[in-house]
Formats: sequence, structure tokens, C-alpha cells
Amino acid sequence: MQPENDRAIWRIYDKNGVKQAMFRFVRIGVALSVIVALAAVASAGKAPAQSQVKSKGTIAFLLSGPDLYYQDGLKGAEAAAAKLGYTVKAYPNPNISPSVELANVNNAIAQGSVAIDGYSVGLSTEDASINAAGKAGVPIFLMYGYSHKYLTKKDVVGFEQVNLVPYGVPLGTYMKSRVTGQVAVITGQLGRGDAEGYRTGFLNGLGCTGNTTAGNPTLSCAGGKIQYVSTETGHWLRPDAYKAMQDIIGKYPNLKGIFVENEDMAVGAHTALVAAHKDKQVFVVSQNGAPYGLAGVKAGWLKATDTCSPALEGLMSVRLIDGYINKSVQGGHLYYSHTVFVTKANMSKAVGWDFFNNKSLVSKYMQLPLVKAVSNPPK
Amino acid sequence: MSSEPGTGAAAVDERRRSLPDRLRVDIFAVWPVAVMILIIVTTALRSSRYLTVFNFENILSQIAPLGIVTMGQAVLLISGGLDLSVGYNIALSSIVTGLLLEHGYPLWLAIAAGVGAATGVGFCNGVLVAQNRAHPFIITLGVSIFLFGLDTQLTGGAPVNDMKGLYTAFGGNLPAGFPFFGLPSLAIPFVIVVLLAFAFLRWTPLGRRAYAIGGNEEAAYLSGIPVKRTKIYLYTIMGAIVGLAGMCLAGEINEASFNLAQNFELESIACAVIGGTALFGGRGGAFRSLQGVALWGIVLNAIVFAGLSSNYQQMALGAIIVVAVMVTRAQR
Repeated sequence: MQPENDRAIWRIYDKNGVKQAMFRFVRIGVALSVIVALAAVASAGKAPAQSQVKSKGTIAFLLSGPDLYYQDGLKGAEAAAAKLGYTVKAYPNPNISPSVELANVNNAIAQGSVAIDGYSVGLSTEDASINAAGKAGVPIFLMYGYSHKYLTKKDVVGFEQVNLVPYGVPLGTYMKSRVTGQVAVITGQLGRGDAEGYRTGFLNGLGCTGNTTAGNPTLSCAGGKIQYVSTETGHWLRPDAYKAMQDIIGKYPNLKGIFVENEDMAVGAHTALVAAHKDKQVFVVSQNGAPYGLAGVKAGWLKATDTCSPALEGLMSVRLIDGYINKSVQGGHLYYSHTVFVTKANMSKAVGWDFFNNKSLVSKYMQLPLVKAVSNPPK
Repeated sequence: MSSEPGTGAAAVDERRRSLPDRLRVDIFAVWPVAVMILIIVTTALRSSRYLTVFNFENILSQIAPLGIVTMGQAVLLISGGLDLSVGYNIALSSIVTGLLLEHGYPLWLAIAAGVGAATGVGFCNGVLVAQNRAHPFIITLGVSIFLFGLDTQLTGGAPVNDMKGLYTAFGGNLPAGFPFFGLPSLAIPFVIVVLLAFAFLRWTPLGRRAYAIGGNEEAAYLSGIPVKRTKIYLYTIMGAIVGLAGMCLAGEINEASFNLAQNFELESIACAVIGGTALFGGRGGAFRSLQGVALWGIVLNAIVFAGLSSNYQQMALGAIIVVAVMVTRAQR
């Protein structure tokens, strides 16, 4: 009875115990293949480090997620490190896990990194990371996640991020003079502070009266010319922003303007507007200056964007770390990223996300003055 | 619904039940519909914009890709399996298609490669599940993590931004001249997959085997059902469905990326369970799962119309899943 069931599909092995032997052979083969593949990956990862004989040391880079923003931040850091004589070793954390981040920090310390750079996954996690680095005497510099309480901690070089609220202001101001009617916002993930900060800046720029920090709709803006009617969450993701835009336009079919908190989501929102034949009706602004965002500005559907290059942030972070190691830069400071507000008229002023592919641009940005520390960082 | 097949024993029991008992079963089976009606009426009373064709088109286009995956997931759940790799498998199929389109390959070839890649992953899942005694949960979780790395490696974290002909096909509503003019294009593959899933489970030997294996795998084996082969077929079919969902979603959003279908694995399982498909096999069906998907979409949309934050969406969906499990238990 038993052999009848799956004989047709496995009959090649179905004789006198040959099946068992074959399966064992296949399993051993698969296991050996996996071991060989892992060994190949490991040796490939080690190769660059071995070739850098005269390195001033390795800077560990916390790569918290696979998104393009973080990848380009890493490449900007690598470009600066190559110029300054360091090597950069990335410690990936693709699932944005707090425990993996702490393990990465400890591994970086154990492997003798001269400094730790990169992105922390969240406010609670960076506390543990900063403490671990400080205990080991390894300087740490983080992009985003600023909190005033960390500035006085041992070996904290500092934080670099956009100035959250002012970053959103020019977008609101720009929309205020061009739109009349209902306006909405698609935020990233509320609860971390950055999404709320961008929205507050946008609403301030829009001239809204009432509690723009809380950002709860509805608010009257621009002397009653504009009504801020809705906030939906796009979780920083294009597909979610697509759905959020569908929901907003379903509820407010006469919507005239939308602020989307990054361009990945803006592309999703625009796609939903096109599908609903509302793309000519709704004025879209966003922020970041990603390649697809700038393409949107060029195409005309994205009216304005406030740009900030992660590659330039990464480059500056390594320069600041180098200054801290050389004692030309003091630790414990907040730095604001370089941002440029662009429309179709001044697109060339944006710092590209991928300038690291161009040696002359890397040299140009290496010669820029270092970003200045914020004199009175917010508490 | 009650017309969908259950296990053989359950069907006999059904005939022996008294009328009140049968009515009780029907109430259990259609509770998602009752909740949907309640939500629709309540929301319509609160907002004059709610009961519009445009809004229901939105809901339909929002649930269509998830609904397609849910049909495949329901088939696997009925057979006692599940697939946690669907999210990143959808991403893989879209990325393969997107990259080929980006390099100038013809649309038909890019689609064939994308769907083929997802089907291949489904076949691998099937072989691994059939050949190992480990639960498909851990097998497909491992495959999911593998695919996450592969997807990210293929794209470097950057989205592919132009799906060309796929966007033309799925990026809007059906044009004039087509049947059902005005409906979202995604409605067509969604409806086709629902009908195929229903027919597959009801009238094909493979579909009946899925119920038998999910009801009692050992008994199914001893009665001569080729369990391993059936599992391989079912997971391969799931891969093909996932590939189709990948094409739909990438075409709708006009993007291929590693995070295109985040959470689809759990959402599709939740939708199937809400509709009454048993988590551990043997019971369920395509139309039941359709109820789950529809309820999912209507709740999300209604909370937007209520002006509540997305946190309430998560709370409501979580509560519905818990209620669904309790109802399913009570039904047993």
C-alpha cells in the first residue's frame, strides 16, 4: 500500500533502498554546497580589508535597513573614508532589529573599529549602542535619532540630521501661494518624532492657525483660503502611500494639494492620482531629492521638493569622525544636514544622492567647509 | 459559504443536522458579511462621500492583490500548509520583471520570467515541505528570509520605477469598450482567480485531495492519496498565483521593489482565517476567504472615513482576527 502514493514522482529512486541512499547523498551535497557558498561569501567580504594595508583603521557603519537612503549614506561614507585613509565596514541590519543593532555595535568594538558611524534603528536602541561604544572608548556618530541627553555621553561625536520642522516650512510656503481649497498630508510613521516634525513645518509654512504641532485636522490655513483636512500614514512605503492617497481622494474628491513626506511615497500618491484622473487637480510637494523625486520634478507632476543627500550626510559624518580622532573637532554636537529647496527652475542646485560615482564631485564635497555645530541644540 | 465543501464526515453531519442547527452554522459562516453590512451602514450614515462608486472602486483595487494571494493561501491552509514567503516572492517576481523591462526585454518575456521565478520558488517550497517533516511555517520562513536578501541584492535597495506595459494594463480602470468599463483593471484577475480557486477546490481531484490531507494527513496517505506529490503541486500553484499577484501589484503601483508586498504573508493568512478557513487544515473555501478579504478592505476604508488614525486600523484588524478565531472555534 505505502509505495503506491508517491511512486510516480519519485520512482527513479524506488528500488531496494536506493531511494534512501540517494536522498542522503543529495542532502550531503546540498549541505556541502551551502558551506562552500558561505565560505565564498565570507572570503569575498574579507578581501577589501586585506588589500588596505595602510588604512588608518576601520570605521564600522550601522546600516539599519536596505533602503536606498541608507545604502547611499554608506557609499558617501565610503567615498570620504577612501580619501581620508580609512576603510568602512558595513554592519547590515536588514530587518531593523534593535537586538541586531546592539550585536553589530559589540561586534564592531570586538573587531577593533576605530569609530562607529551610521543609522540607529530607533531612539530606545541608540541608548544601548551609545553606552556600549562609550564603555569601550569607541567614538560614535549617528545620523538621525538626535536626543539632547546623549550629547554629554562619553565618546559621542555627535548627530547629523535635517532640522525637522524648518525642513517642511518652504514646502508649505510654496503651496500656500499656489493652492486654494482642501490640502492633506501623507506622513511616514507617526510616533518617532520626525514625521510629526515635517508635518508641523509644512503646516506652519501653510500659515495654519491652531495647534500645528499636534497636527490634527482640520485646521484653517492661509487666512481661510486653505483647509487642512486630513493626515494619512504611508509608513514611508510607496504601496501604502498609494492606498492612503486613494482613501484621501475618496473622502475629499475636491482635494487641491498634498504634502507627502518622502518621494518614494510621493510616487505612489501620484500613481493613485493618475489612476483616479486627479493628477492635474492635486498639487503635490514632497521632500528628500531622491533620483525618482528629481525625475518627478523634471516631469512636472512633483511641483517642489526639499532635498537632502544621504551621500553628503555620510561623507560629512566621516569627515567629522576624522576630525574627532585628530582632535580638531570636539564631540557632543548636533549638526544639521545640507538641504536645498528645489522646483523645476533650480533643480541643478540639488546635491545628488549618487555623486560618489563621480570623483570630481567627491573631491568638491570633500573640500566644502565642515558643517557647523548647532549652537543651541533643542532640548 | 455553506455550499462549499468540507471534509467528507462534515458533509454527512451537515445532512443529519436539524434546521435550527443548520441555521446556526449559516450564521457562523456569514458573520463577516453581517459585520460588513453593519460597517457600511454605519459609515454611510456618518459620511455622505462613503457610498460612492469611486470609493468602492478604491476598496476593490486595494484588496485585489491581497485577495489573489489569499486565494492561494486559503488552498494551502485547507491542505494543512501555509506560505510565509509570499511577500518577498511577490517582490521577486516584480523585480525580475522590472529589471528585464528596464533592460529593454519584451513585456511577454519579462512577465513570463517574473511569474516563472515565483512559480519556481513555489516549487522549491513544495519540495522542501514535502520532503521534510518540519512544519511549513519554518520552511517557508527560511525561504522568505532568503528571498529578502536576494530581492535586496538584485535591486540594491532602489526601486525599479517604470513597469511600462504592466502599468498600462493594471495602473488604472478598464477603458471604454471593455466589459465592466470603469472598474479597476485589477478586478479582472482578482475575479478570475477567485472563480478558479472555487472551481479548483470544488471540482478537481487535486482540490479534493487538499481537503483530505488537511483534514487528516495520515488517513489521506493510507487511503492512497499521493501526499507529497499533492503538496508539491499545491505549493507550485501557490507560486504561480503569487507571481500573478506580483504582476498586478507592480503594475498598479508602477514599481518593483523588495518592500512591494510587506506583510502580505500574514495579511493573507489573516484574511483566509477571518473568512472561516481553518488555520490547521481541512475546512474553508474560496468564497469564505473572499469574505475575509472584503471585510479587511472595508474596515480599513471605514476607519479612514471615520477620521481615525491608522493605529485604529491595526487595533480593529487585530480584534477582527481574534473574533474570527473564536467564531471558528465555536463553529466546531
